[in-house]
Amino acid sequence: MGFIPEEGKSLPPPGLVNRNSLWLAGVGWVSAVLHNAINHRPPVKSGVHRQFLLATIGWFIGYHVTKYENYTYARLDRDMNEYIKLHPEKFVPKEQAQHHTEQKTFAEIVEPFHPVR
Amino acid sequence: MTFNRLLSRAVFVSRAGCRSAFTSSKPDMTNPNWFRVGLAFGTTAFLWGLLTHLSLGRRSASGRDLPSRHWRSGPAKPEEN
Repeated sequence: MGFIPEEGKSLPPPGLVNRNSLWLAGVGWVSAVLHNAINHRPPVKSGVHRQFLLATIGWFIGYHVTKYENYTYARLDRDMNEYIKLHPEKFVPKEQAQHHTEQKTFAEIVEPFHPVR
Repeated sequence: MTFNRLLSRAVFVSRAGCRSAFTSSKPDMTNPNWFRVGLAFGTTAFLWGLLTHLSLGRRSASGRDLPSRHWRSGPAKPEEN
């Protein structure tokens, strides 16, 4: 919608069925049923057009929430991978690290332990 | 005495003297408001059409900027260039 910047437009759109849509559609439907119950109408059998409308509005909002969620995770992944690319020395595979003499013991890494007994 | 007279005069002047909270007629549930029903169903159909269009469209393959991934599969691995 309006809150995804240009770089996020190239992402594939989320599928029609997704978790956020299902949940918010359920929220909308339950609110319609509650509205019926509060006004002394048969809860599920009356106002079907209202139930459909509120469930659809919830589905719609959930779809866009999923879209924004996908954009956020894609952005975090990209930033993380860029950082990894820029600092390869911090992400040396374990076998290469063991060949060097920089292997530290736990006593050197961990803070000094002062027991309080 | 003057005080009571002031108060009683205020009741006649102000509009909020005595209002009932109950409406005069109950809402008629046997004859639905077909305009509102049609509006609700029409909006529903419109929203579903919009959703289908949004989810099927935009299959552009220019996904170079941002990596996409399934929500269960964890972070996207960096591309081996």
